[in-house]
Amino acid sequence: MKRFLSAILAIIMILCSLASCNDAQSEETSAETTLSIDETTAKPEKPEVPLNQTINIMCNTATIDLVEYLVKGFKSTVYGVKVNLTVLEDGRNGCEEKLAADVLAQNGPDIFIINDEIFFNTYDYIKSGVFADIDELNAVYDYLRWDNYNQDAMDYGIVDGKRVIFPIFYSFPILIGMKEVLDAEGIKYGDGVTFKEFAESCIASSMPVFDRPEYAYRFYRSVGLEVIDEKEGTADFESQEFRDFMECYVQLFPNIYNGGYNDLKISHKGYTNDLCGALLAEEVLFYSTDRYNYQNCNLPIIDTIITAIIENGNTPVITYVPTMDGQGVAARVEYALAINSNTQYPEACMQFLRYASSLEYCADDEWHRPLFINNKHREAIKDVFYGEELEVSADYKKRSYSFDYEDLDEEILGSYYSIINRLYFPKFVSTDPLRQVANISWEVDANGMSLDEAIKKYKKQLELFLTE
Amino acid sequence: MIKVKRILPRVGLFCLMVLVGLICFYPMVSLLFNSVLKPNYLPRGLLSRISHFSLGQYYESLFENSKFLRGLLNSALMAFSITLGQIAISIPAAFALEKYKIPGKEILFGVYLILVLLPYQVLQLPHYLLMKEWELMDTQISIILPNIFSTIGVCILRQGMRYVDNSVLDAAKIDGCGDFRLLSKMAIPGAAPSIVAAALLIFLDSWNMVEAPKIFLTSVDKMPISVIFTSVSGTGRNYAMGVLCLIIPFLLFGLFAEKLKSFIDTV
Amino acid sequence: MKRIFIRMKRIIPPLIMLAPSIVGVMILYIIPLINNFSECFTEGVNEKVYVGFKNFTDLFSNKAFALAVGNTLRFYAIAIPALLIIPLLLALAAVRNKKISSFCTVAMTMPIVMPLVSVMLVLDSFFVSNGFLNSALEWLGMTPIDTHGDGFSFVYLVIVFVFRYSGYNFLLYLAGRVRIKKEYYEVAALDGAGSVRSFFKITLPLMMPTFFLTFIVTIINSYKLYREAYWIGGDYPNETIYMIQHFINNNLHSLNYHRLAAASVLILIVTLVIVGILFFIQSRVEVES
Repeated sequence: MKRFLSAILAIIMILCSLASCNDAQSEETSAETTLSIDETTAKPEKPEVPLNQTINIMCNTATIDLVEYLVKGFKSTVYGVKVNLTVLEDGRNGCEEKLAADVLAQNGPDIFIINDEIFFNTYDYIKSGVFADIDELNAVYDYLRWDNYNQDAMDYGIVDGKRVIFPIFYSFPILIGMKEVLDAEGIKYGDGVTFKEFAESCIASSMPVFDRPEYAYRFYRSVGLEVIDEKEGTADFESQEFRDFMECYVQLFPNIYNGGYNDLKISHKGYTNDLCGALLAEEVLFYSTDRYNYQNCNLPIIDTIITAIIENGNTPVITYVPTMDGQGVAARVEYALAINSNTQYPEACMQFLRYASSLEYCADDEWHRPLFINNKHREAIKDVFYGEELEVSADYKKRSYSFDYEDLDEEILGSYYSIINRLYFPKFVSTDPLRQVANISWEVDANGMSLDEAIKKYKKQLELFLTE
Repeated sequence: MIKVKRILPRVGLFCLMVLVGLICFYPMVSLLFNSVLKPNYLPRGLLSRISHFSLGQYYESLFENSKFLRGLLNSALMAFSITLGQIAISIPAAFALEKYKIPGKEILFGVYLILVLLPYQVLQLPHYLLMKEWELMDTQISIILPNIFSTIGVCILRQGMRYVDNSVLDAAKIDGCGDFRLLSKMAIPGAAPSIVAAALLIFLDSWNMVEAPKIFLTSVDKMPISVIFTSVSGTGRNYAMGVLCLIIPFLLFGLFAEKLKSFIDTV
Repeated sequence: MKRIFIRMKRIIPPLIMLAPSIVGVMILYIIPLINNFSECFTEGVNEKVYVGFKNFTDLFSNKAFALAVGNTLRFYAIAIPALLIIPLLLALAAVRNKKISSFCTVAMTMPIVMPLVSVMLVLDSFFVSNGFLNSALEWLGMTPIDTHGDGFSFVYLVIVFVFRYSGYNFLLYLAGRVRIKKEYYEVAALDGAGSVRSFFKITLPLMMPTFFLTFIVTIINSYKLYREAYWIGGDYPNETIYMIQHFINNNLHSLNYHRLAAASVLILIVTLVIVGILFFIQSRVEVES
């Protein structure tokens, strides 16, 4: 019996070793192709600047698409800087454990990637002084030209008086629908309409409004609420403003946390001539070195919808989710970067920041397809840093959409521009406290708790979190 | 009357064992039942389960996904090395601590006890700094080495050594037996149940360890299965993987249950 | 002079036996800890500022710490006796019969061996709102339990703790009980002592070292309970199960290593006091027997 069991144990160990050996070979070859790309994609014209600097970056599988693309582009544009990308693949949601251990041991990455899916407690790092002051670094290395950026977006990165966060791109939801239908259903939209009025008119109507669920913590950012103050450690959950928001949210998006979409309020995917629903489409804005804003959208949707509406003989309307006071359009910062104050190579980090916000990255990004506001802008691209016309590849011209907004009606174009001109960036707050907002809607949705009780319970929990 | 008195405790014992078996084996049985369904299928009711019988989950876990087997191998390697190393170091140390008059041994044991009761987060930063200095980050040795010298083994075995009769040891010493011979011929067989129990406990601890690999290892091919279980298994496959994870410890227990049985003989 | 020499010579073999352990522990545990001990008295991640005992006094006025300590004490008061007594009863029952003892060994260690995910999935499906337990209760006509409510999380955690970690204590008890020779019990039976009396007079005193050990192992396992508590409630669970492990772990993620170190020192002091008391009791009872 004993020998039999030992034999089985031995066989299993041998099988495991054999299996892992095979895998090791294939992993080695794939690693060679994805991460060490310096040799293969080097452009031969630019001279090699022997800087000998190294940047360490950490990300996880949820954000690997963006980061790998960024790193690849950076390596082919800037020379003399080696980038070590560590990808954590063991199924964690964020990198928090490894990141905290590394930072405490003064071994943290040089560039932090700040995104909802990877970095939850950003404010703790800011408070502990882990992020470097970008203004100070720019005074020394002078890679970033501030007047090329959208100032409001960049001011988002000023927390507690220091500019520590560098937003790369942000998004806000826009709504597209037929004017006749929206007016018939009595949906209030446009200038001066507060969120409460908009949401109540949507709830009262019988028409589908949003075509996919929006989780509470993201929707909180989209309406520009600012009830959580991390520095003071308070959360004004019991204010009337927050109450209104939560009441509207749980009625607009019921059943998200119960595993199902709301049949009444969520429309069908795609667009047909019979369907008159207002659809939610997200627009992602890059601010770039150029004065012209580039916009990347879920273009097939917007393009098709507007074209179909016009062909149908109706008037398209482009509108937005209003903020609580109806004075602006709140944008959510989706990705941001920060520099480690302990870094040995601040110059390389500043170059990385410049690249991440540059024309070259935006223009050649196969993941985001650029769209110009109008054709005049597209012709006038200049690469600000090198002072020469950027070589726009044929591939790029093919990919960029030729939708000319100038063909649109004045009113539509005007409403579209009015959105861009009224972007408002709410104060920075990290993801962790916002989860308590999501928990409130979860309790009401999935567990049937009353809103008052849920607010009280999670206010206590948030205060526990903030005073820990 | 006499018969009832004799039967009642036996029946009671039987019922108790059935209860214990139900509670302890229910998760595994539930796993087994769910693991023989088709992958990505949510079980609903008995009849549909029978109709969806398939070994697809096992096939997918073993042959389509080499990360799983590698994770198992890593787990087994680390757990075995830690167990063997810790036992090898703790047996002489426990023997020396218990049976010899060394000045300051109680203080030493007190220090060992303190180290055992510290939460791991406190030790994490010192170990990290040490491993960074020795350039052992992202190797499995960085996890195995501190755990080999973990003091829980000494604490358990010292209590075990208390049971070895002093008189027998003294008699052997008078007969001229050297200290190391005492250790190997008298102490180890004498404290054998404790050694077996300690080895099993240390193995289980190392098999389940989750925090240390997350901090010290970055490459996936060095991670033990306890860490990458969730990422390697999809929603449809984690039943079969759970069952497969049990095989190695199960075999180990099978081997050692024999040993424990032989001890119970003497009771 | 010669006597000292002989004494030193006698001490050499045991020192050689102790050497690997002591050397390893010194290099890997004690020296690094001493190097980092100053962290209790400083603040800041990159530039360390000396602040004296501020970390400790901050803890005393910290609401989260007070809540964590209260919950942990309450948890220990219930879970530790449960985890000491239940495996003991099982071990005593199992030790009479070879087959039962090996069956029990395998059964009790099943919950430890299974991956966390599997165990928690199974337990969750049993206890969740529309799970097996509530369905059974409804079928019997009783009101179903609100499994996400305040009261139940605590009970659930205790159940999970007892379920997962009884195996450790069971093995230790078995190993300890096995050493007590059969003859003691036979003599006691001849003297007319029933099983209860022989338990108190023979088993209990002779197993004192094992009790001491299981207490320590239980405390160590309660630190590991963090994984299960994280599964049930996340980083900031229900108020009733927010324990010292959550406090320590969250402070690690928030880069407050100093608060963590100070809290650990406090907990260590309290634990040592308790362990010291136990040690004292153990030596007293041993002397008596």
